[in-house]
Amino acid sequence: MNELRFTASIRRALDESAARLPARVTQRLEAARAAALAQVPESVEAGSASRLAESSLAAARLPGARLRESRHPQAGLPETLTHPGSRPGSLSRSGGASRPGAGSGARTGRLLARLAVAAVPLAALVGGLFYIDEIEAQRHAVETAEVEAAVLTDLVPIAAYVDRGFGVYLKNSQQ
Amino acid sequence: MATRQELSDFLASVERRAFRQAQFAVRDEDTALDLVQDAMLRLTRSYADRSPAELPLVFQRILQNAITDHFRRQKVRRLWTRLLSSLPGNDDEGGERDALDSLPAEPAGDFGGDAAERVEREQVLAIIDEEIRKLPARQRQAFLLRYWEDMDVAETAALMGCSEGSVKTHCSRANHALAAALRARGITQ
Repeated sequence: MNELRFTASIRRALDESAARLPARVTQRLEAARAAALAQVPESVEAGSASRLAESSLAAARLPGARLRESRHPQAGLPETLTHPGSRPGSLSRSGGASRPGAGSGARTGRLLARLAVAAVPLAALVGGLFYIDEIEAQRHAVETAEVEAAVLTDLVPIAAYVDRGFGVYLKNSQQ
Repeated sequence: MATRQELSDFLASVERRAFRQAQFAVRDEDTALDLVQDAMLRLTRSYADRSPAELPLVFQRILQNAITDHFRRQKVRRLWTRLLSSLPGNDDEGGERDALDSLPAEPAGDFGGDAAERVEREQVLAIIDEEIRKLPARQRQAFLLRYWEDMDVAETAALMGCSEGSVKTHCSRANHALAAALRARGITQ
């Protein structure tokens, strides 16, 4: 069979089945599209500018915004986010206006060291969990295999086990 | 930069295919709808300023990521469920578990009026759907992206995070497997 013709016919079939989706699906897709479009402003161009302004305002309104900005003087963010008592450009929280960024290397190093220390037990925990999961999966597979082997070698046909009456009979006879 | 109308037209043109792709992957209608909705929301929230020509690739990337994330979440959830259920005292039946309970129920027979009304074409479409669903996930993904979404090999490779050679291999295997399966079920061109 010609590969191109084959893929074209499969594509047609896929298009056809996509066109025949049930109404509940198409309605939900329409609703999803409407919800997605609802968050787009009338004009995307104008919208992106207003979104930028909004995000700046939102950041300025955040209680921790000033603190965050002052920790990263090199970020080049608007003056509205600077410390109120400082001159424009003097963004250092700890009075390091003359040495912007001084001590940030040491702080980063300490932070990384702390993260590394915290990561070790976390990694051990995750590793342990995956190991337990593997063991559990193996145990479950062995159990299932045993039951399947027992069922297959049983004199009673396998179909009998899905018969509700037979299940009731088994329960009663066990009691 | 896409206008609102262009975004709307684009979403309307891809939503059904996106749903089918997600459904092939996760095999659940509601989950597939949720994934498509998430992808649409992410597109309009974060990428509405892209040009219309960029939208198909961006949307596909978002959708494929959403599907991958879904499987990751499912794996983690299964891990915790299994771990918690293996704790002692979590079994209502005193630890006894019947393996037959885990067997999937047989699909309900459909011998009513619907079956009689089905046209042959619908049966063929259903078989094709079924055989596509049976393809290994990577082969199916490559096949659908290449031949249904019209992505080229490089774009498909970028979306799947693999080499172009792997994409060609996946597509070729999917083609052969699908053709053989359909031939075996009496469907030929």
